[in-house]
Amino acid sequence: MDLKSATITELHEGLRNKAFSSVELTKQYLDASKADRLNAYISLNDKALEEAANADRIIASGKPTVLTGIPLAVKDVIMTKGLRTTAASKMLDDYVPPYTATAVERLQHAGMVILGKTNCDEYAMGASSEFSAYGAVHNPLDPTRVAGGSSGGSAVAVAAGYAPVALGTDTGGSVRLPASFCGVIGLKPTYGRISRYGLIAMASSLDQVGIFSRSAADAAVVLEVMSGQDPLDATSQAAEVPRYSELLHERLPDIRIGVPRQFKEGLSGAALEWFEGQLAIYRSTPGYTLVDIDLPRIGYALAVYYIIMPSEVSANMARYDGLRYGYAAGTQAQLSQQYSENRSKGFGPEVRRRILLGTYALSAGYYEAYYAQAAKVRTILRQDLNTAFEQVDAILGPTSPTPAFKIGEKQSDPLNMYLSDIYTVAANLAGIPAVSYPAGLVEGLPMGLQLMGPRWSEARLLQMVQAFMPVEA
Amino acid sequence: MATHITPEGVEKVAHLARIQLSENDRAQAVTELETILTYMDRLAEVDTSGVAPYALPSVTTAELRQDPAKPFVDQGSLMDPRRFKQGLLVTKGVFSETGDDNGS
Repeated sequence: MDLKSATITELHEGLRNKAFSSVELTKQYLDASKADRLNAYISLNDKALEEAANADRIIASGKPTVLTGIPLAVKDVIMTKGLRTTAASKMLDDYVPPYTATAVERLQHAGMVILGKTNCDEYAMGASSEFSAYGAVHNPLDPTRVAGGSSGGSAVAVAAGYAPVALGTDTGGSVRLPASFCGVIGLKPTYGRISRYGLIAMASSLDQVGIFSRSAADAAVVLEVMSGQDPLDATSQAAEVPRYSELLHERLPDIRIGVPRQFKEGLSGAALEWFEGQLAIYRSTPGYTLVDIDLPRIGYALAVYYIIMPSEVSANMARYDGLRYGYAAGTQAQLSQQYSENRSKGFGPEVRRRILLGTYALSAGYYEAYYAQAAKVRTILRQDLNTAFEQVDAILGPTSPTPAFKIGEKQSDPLNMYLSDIYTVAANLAGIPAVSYPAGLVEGLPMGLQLMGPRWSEARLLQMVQAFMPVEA
Repeated sequence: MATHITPEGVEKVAHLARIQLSENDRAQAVTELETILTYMDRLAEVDTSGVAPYALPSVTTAELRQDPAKPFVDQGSLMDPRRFKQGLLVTKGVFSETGDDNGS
């Protein structure tokens, strides 16, 4: 079994036919992960083989689900009871959660085996997975380049064959961007599709658990199990959970795909040539109609995001005072000094930068000009996208303006780093689903195409990915 | 070009956020925030008169769970041997003149 290409369906068949056991399979993935030089993992699960043995008992009983015994990697901002969860931060270096996130718990109930916790940007804040307290994650196609962020470790785990599927989180593109950079599928669902209970909060109106996979079918089955309302998350929605994996087999109707004029204008050089080539392929493929659309205010999405998100970050990060849990420097006597010292030394530079930016945007005298204005423009962007979806079934664009950049290239230029998210943030702001899928190479490096759809259209997006991925130049 | 933030402004924001900044950190924060906030100025171009700020779609009221009296049975997760020293549970010192963990 080639670990780098095996899908959940293939692994499930192998387990059912006793070609291998879950223990053998899990051991192979653990061995591959231990040999990792890309820094994809922060912690491996020392109970993984025990979980796999339990899965083997369930398989032997004749009552497995399609996910029983299948290994899973989990981004280290998602809580796992008894398994260290650091958020890639010194602040939580020794934190062991007392509970498991609902999304992971549902997958564990379906029989999945947790391999370990993947590396990422600290507290999911970044576009490159360089801002980790445990070192940068390296791109498997070119280790001198970034894996993308913030869920770089999970993207690498799937791309490099350390796990067949992995969970990430996506607040402004943190699943889709590393998926694009690493050549795998990355799905961000509709806001409220998957419970955020147990997801270490970054920006609560934007965060969603996302999925990395090698096939649309794998993403579908994992999505199906995780989705659904959770009484522990008041923002999770009661919308019906379709049988995504069954719907993949339905014939795709003729699809109208909107291509915003503004998306092409943001590209240049080899990336523009690549995108034009991809559009030409779809124009020549029956069943797809490309429609030029206009999203005149989409250019403001990044500014809206980088006001709203740090504002929510500044509130969510206030809980980290080093007293009840988390890093404590232990040198100050006065309480307020303890707070400042613990936070200053426990948080890395990008986290501190976003806290400062958000605190400024919410502060007296600036709130109206920044946060309030951004919240109103967010409404306008959402309306613009809803209007576009009255004409088209999905919106197509590049996931990123460039392929993976060199490690260190953008670390000292925060705004340039933020511009990596220029195509992805709109989906989070509007709460709509979006998926990045591998669509060829630019200068030898993977590039992803992104599809956005109306709320609750994950089934259609996954159908499109399944249909589109074989379409190659 | 309007200046968005000064060293004093950064210091005030840092105090609100309970973040300590060295002199170098403060200077760097001024430069970085100025660049970022200059980019954000474009939001003022958008006419938002009559537009309501975005609110999350229909957040359901959080359910109240039943709260029956029952014994706590997960002592094991709290009584990790690593948390004990000489048979006593170690916590972080808060009220201490020196601020160390074993302060009295």
